[in-house]
Amino acid sequence: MPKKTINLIINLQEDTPLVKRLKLFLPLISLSSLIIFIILYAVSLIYIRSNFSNYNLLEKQTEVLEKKVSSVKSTEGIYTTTVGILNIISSLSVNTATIMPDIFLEVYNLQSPGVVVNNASIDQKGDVFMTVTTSNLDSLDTIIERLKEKEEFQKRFINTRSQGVTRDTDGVYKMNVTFQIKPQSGI
Amino acid sequence: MMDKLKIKSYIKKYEIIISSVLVIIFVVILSVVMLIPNFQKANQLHKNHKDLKSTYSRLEQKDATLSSLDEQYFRDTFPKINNVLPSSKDYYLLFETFDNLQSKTGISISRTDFQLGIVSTNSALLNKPTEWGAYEMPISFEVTGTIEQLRMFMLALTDLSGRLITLENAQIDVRAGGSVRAVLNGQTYFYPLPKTIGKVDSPLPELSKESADILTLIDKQQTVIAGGDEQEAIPVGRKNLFSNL
Repeated sequence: MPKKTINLIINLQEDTPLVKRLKLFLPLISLSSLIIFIILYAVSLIYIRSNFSNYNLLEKQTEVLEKKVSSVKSTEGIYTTTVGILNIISSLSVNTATIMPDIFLEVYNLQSPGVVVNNASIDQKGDVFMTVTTSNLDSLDTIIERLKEKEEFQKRFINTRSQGVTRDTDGVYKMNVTFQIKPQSGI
Repeated sequence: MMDKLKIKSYIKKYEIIISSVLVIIFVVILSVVMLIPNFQKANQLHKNHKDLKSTYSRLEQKDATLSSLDEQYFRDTFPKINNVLPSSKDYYLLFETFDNLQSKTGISISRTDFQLGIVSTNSALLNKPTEWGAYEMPISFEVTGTIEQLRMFMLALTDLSGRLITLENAQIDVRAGGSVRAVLNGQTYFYPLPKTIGKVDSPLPELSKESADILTLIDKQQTVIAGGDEQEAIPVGRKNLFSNL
């Protein structure tokens, strides 16, 4: 009988290139990810533990300080209320500063011998309406010149307008005038 | 039997890959369950610590300011400040201010008009406050005096020696002999006191230079009118007419 040979050794199948690469890189990735995880976890635990004790200490100090501040609530109350009221008074004083005494004086000082300011209406914006009486034509001329001087040279009056001049039978001239007074700087 | 052998051979062939993947999956699960919550906790702790630090610093500042304040000075000047800007309409104070102005300037106040009615009571709705926080009360009054008296009167309305009154317009009649009669229209103000002063860690308001100057001016300008409890004792008769005691 001729000899029969049976090959018992199975031929080794070559790995595909992909499998070769996976066998090379996956163990590296898994090991490095495990190491990174362990390091990060340890760091986070240490951070939390140390900051927690600092936080607790700060919290205790804050509580003590809160109690101290609460114990002087009456001082805080009077101070806060006073400052609040003062701030409002300050705003009111600045924003509603009155220029009316100045306006009144300006209007009144327009008077001179023969020129009388009978009545005047003035407001906070500086608008003035006044009635002037003069005893003669020269005095009328005087008041007109004064008004012109105030507007053109002193630049104190704006939009000076005469509403009309009337002459009474006794020779007295009456004139209605409107103008605006510019507030002085600083007011 | 054959299948089992096949599975075993596959596992044997790819054991490195399989074990690496298992480790990676295990690390991912642990990260999600343990690492990420730790990071969130650390982040929250850091944030809380920062907030607490800022609260502590505010409290320290507040404590230092309150310790340096002269509480008695503020208590003594508060009634004077209240005279300028009272917490309610306080018509009594208004009349008092007019009386003081008359005696100070020599002017004569012949008529006063101010708003009464439903807004006189504290329970009624108040008008909307001005942009500066105080409530307005329109007021009108008629005065008679000399030119200089009228000018001094106008200035005295806002010199903080009494209730603050601002003028909007005036109608002036010049009479013979240098006297004037004027009708003045303006506003006075009041500011209801706040009911609360804020939380314990809320910062203190700052006393600006302008406000400090106003406080000094008010303190200098004003004399506080004594209250009712300082009235003189009024002598009374016997309690029992039939007793010698």
